Amino acid sequence: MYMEEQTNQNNKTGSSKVGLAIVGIIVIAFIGIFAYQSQTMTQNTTTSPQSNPTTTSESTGTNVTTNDENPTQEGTYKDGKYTAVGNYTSPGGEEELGVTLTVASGVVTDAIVEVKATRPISKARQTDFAANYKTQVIGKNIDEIQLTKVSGSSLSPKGFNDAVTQIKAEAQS
Amino acid sequence: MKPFQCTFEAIGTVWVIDVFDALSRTDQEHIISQVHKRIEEYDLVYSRFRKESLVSTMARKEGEYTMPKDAKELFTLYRKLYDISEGAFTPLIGNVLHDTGYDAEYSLKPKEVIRPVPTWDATFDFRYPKLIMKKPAILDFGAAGKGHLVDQVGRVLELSGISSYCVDAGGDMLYKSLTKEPMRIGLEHPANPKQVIGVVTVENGSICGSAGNRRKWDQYNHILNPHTRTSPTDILSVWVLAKKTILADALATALYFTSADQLSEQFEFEYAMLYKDYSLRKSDTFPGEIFYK
Repeated sequence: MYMEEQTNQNNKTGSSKVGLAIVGIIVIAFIGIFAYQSQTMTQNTTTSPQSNPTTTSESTGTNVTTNDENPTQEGTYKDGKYTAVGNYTSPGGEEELGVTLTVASGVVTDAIVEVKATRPISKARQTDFAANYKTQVIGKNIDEIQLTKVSGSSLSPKGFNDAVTQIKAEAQS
Repeated sequence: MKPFQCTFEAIGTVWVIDVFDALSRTDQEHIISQVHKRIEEYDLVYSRFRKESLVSTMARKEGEYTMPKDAKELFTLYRKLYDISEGAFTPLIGNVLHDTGYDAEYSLKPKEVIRPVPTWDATFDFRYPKLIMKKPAILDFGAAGKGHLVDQVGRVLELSGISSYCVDAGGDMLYKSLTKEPMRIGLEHPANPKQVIGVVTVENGSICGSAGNRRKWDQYNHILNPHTRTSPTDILSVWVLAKKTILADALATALYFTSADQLSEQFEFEYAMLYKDYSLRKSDTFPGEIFYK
């Protein structure tokens, strides 16, 4: 696995580590899906245990252990785009997967998965993964974050709320 | 002489006005009464929830109407978005909202037949200050009217010499700061109002949010597609930042029906859209932080 910094030349080591750690997580996620799929495939086709997912886990291990940092640990994420290529062993042999992460104000704001596989099956799997890979948001409690205001849907009018309450009551009676 | 805050209910939502300039008590009272006056004046023209309003009269009777000065900006923006969205963004959604049950009485009971949305040109003609209703129709300015009014209230404050303030109408807000003090605004989690999915920073400008989580009834919410006469379900929330609140408000609805790329060609704004699967799409320079899994 190698790292390449696209937009940021400073603080190379620190940023790369963070990027690497995150790429590590994504690669695990991908390998996880892959391993699961190949396992399913194995079961369905009852082939010999050559395509045992432990092969892929081993490669996952290699990817992650190159980095001693805890991937979830908070770091000084320098803004920029980070690209990394992860490799793993598919049942057919070595394959690569590209990941580009955008870091802004210390958090990952975008992630793009690039299909790099050469074998048809791996290519199909990676394409599927890239298409379905989306970073999902999570909620944080308002009292944990320093905020002045909150924006969402507008608070609904009293008349509207009263009507909803009334309809619910009617539905229950 | 301290900065002051004033909270009240109007046009069906909660308003919070913060003034960061030092003002005397008398000035505060005077300004707030001016604000109330402006809101009432606006409501009497544009609210379809009030029988005595101008739009309620238009819903009963065709003919020629004289519109106030502020109509120019509102109708111009509506027409522009009407054209870009191929009729999806329209004040004529009023009839549909009414038929689905979001009527002046809040019956919330959909009628058996939801009438189709008439076209703009077949229904009315606007040439400031004249509005000609070719036939009666319920005009609904819910997609931009609140933002428009927030701007008007901002103007009232500015005409009183106030330079740093925040006008917040139920989460749609205009913030001005002479010293460019950044304001941190949370993006509400559509399924949990005690949580936010990110934070944006506003220095001078507006932010508006649109989501179907509060005003919902039957199979509808207040965002309705006039072509399908259904409420969109693939988008949970939309937030838009723009210089003017009218634009931020309008685009927060327009993005449900029109692509961001198409709108970016015509308007200057930043946006974030949250989809049903909790993935998020946002503009490249969105000034905030999103919390990812």
